Amino acid sequence: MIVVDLSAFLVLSAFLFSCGIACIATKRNAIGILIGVELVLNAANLNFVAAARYLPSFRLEGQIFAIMVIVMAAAEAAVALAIFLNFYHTHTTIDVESASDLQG
Amino acid sequence: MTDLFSDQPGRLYVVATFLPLLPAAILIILGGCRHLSRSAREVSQMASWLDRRLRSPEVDRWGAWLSIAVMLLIAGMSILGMAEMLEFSQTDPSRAWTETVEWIRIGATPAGAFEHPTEGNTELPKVSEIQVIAFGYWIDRTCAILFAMVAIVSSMIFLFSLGYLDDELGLEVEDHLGHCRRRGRLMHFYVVLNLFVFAMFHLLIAVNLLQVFMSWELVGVCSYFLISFYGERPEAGWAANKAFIVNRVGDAGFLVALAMAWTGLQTLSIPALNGILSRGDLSAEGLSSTWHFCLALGLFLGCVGKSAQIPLQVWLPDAMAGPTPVSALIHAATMVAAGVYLIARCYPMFPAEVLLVIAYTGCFTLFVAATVACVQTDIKKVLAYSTVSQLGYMMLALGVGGLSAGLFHLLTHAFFKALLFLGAGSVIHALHHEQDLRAMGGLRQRMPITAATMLVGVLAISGMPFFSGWYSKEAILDRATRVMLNEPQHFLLGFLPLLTAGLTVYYMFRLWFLAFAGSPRHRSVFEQSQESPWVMTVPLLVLSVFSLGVGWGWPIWEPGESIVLHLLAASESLGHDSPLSAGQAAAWLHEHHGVLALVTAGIGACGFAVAYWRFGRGAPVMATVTTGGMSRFLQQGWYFDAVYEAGIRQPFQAFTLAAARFDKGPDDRGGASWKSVDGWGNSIGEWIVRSARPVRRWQTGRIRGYVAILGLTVVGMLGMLAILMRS
Amino acid sequence: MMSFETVMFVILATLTGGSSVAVVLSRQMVRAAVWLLITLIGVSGLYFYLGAEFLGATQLIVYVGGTLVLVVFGVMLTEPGKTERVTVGPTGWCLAGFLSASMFFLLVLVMLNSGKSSSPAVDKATEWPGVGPIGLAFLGLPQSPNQPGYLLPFELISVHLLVVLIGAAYLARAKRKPASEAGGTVVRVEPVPDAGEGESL
Repeated sequence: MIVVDLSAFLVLSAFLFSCGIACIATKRNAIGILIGVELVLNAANLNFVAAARYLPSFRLEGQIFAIMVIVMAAAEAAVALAIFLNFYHTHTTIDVESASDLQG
Repeated sequence: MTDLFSDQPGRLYVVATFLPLLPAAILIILGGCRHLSRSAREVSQMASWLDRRLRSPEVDRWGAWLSIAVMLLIAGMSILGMAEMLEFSQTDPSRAWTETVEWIRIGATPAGAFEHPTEGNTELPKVSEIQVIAFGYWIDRTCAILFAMVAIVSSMIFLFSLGYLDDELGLEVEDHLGHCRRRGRLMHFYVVLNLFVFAMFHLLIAVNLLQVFMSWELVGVCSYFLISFYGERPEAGWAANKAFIVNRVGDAGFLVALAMAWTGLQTLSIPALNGILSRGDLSAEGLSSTWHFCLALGLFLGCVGKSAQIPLQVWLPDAMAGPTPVSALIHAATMVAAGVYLIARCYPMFPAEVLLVIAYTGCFTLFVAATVACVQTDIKKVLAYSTVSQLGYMMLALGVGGLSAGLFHLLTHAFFKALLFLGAGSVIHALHHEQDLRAMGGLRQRMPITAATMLVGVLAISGMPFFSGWYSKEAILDRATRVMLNEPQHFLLGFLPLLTAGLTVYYMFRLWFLAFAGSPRHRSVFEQSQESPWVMTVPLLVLSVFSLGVGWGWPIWEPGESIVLHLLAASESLGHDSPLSAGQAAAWLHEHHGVLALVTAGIGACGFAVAYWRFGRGAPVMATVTTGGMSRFLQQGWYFDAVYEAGIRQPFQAFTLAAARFDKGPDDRGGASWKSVDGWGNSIGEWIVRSARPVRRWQTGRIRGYVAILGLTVVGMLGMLAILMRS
Repeated sequence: MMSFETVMFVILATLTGGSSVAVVLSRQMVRAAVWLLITLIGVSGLYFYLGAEFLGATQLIVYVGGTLVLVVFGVMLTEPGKTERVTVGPTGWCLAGFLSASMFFLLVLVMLNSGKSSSPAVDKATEWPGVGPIGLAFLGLPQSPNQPGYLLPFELISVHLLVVLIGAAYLARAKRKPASEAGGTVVRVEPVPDAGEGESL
């Protein structure tokens, strides 16, 4: 019997999180990494809202935090894409392996 | 204004001491103006006019005459002062004019005044806790007489220098030995000379040993500048360094003595120290006789350096690289006499053991220097070694208790040695800086005044009766032979001076015969010689008058009755008689003092005979200096220089080179090796860089790598968290 | 006996989890973007399931309609060349698998051990803050004596958005092409070869 309580959501968000990590680690396309980051953020968001739902004292804070994370993620995605476009313009490739100029 | 002097007549001497600084300051300002106008002369017409006017030889001459005039004024003041001092001290010869001013006060603030300024803590410290260094003057009879001597000799030398350095008046001087063309430097000479005279006067009147030390160093510095006057010649620089450094070796002893006196007795004042230390027994202050011995020995060491005694005599012959007036003033009449003067001033401080050391040092010095002088070919070197020898006589005199004899010889030696040096300078100037005796000869035909005055000087130093040197030498030999007869184990103290008297006659007459007698050995040199102008011959004449007459007394044939000797002897009551020269044989000698005169006369005659036989009959070609062992030994100055070079300088230089190599590494290119201090620094740096290189590779710039590491780190942290939470 | 909620949860969870796996596994960017779209819709559904309607709507509007569109645009604008292969080798997959697996495992371990008891059934009607309370909280309504409203964070993220707008607009501006006779191409920098240990002293 699957009881849907907090731990179920926690497991689900952990799963989403690890998928996001896997996506970051396996994509050479910069946009792919960005997609992974979005997954991670969503996993965290899910965590927040689930906690808000199942912990009485966290009712409002969870949602508010989740809204802020959504806003931040959008902003970050915009900036990241601007950077990637810039990078593409100068290097003509979106491969992050080419972005290794900052080396020692 | 006269009240100022009538209360304290000693202040006249203070004024006389500081007066040479006036022309020095004027000349320095003149030099500054010249420098400024030089920089500006391209720019403004007025400046170039001023520059031309300032650099004319006339200005140089005026500057020289100003210095000479001031010096003559000081000589006049000092003679007046001496007359007054003689009158002042007629009844009691040890009376002195003295005045002091507190200079440094240690320990006079009330205890705790700084920690608690508001509390009324006015309890004064005990008197014995206050230490004061007081500067001032202390002028007694000896000081007055010697001050007058220094003033007269200096004024004569100032006058002479104007003639000797006439080629420095030009705007362009060609220095053959230095291989250069340069501007004339007369002003520079007079500035340093004035400074030197100031320091020498200050040394004479000083009351505090610290003042003496300051003057000591200042005369050393002026000597350094003047020896290196012809700075473009390499030997001048080397000689100046050598003089200063060897002097410093002696000064180490002086400093030790100063420190001992200060810590042991809390005073550096000469009269005070004389009073305390002459008691002989210092157990009241808790000081041993060893302490007393060391203090006196330290003072004597300073004098060994300054007065060129063995083993520190090596600097004086090399100091002849300076101009001849410098040699006359500094290295014959005044500076080198400062050591003798100091011992005389502080005579009561010296215990009998140290006096014995002084006597033996003087004894060996006079013999060694005289032997070396016999084989020198440079006219100035002969005179330099002669100076060392005569200084040895003075030290010997002081060591055997003849305080007045030593001081008297100091006085007469100043006059006739200055005369001899100035005469040599006259010859050198006339022969266009030819100094080798082998190239001279027969000069008395062309330079009669110089030849005659030099003869006076030679007779004086040889101890010819009725010349001043006779009186002083007889006084010394009298004392010395008393010692020899009294205590036969000290026979050297009597034998060597007698023998050296003969050597002195020999080498001085050798010099005179080689230079002035016979026929000329070098035609061209002879042809261009002529008698020197009046600025040079007048000093010679004045000094020869003094060399002849300063020792006279009544009756004139009694060496012990010399007036000056009596004046100086009277101040001996301050000191104590050396136990060496008292006793039975002394009494016998006193009765039969004619015997001594005959003995010395005989020895002198022998010396003269040998010199005449070898050189006086006009030997046309001087036998070239034989290269025999003895000759070479003497020529090298008994190998003192060689021993110092091999034994001290070269090991020290090897050490310093090794230290430099240790510091910088063999090629100073910033290499990194572990053999030098620089190399260590570089090696550490290089090691850091080398160990950082692998670390640099960690920064690959690859984002995915970073992400991987980041992920692994988070995994690790989560693992730790899991473990912690489980427990 | 599965209740309605359980079934809904299972469907939504499967949808979300499956599409996120698909995101990881898809090779082409456009497909990954689409699978991301499905994932985001799934997450939004989960928000609705949890009762946070406002949040679910916000997720759909902002994330799906904004961020994802942006991502798709980016994908289209930065197409790799025809001959370029941007894939990760087996090493990368192993590492990624290890990382994500261990991360998942540890997260679950930690989460489940934190020992918070929760009540599965909550009364939805009472005390669940909806849009109104959220809005008022953002405008500064104090929540409790010690808890002022969330006005400051609201203002901060507003300013933050402004800054991001300006910054992104500046970064991604169209650059003037240098005028050159031969071709007039944008300055190209050759892709730096994979020099992980460049030592250029």
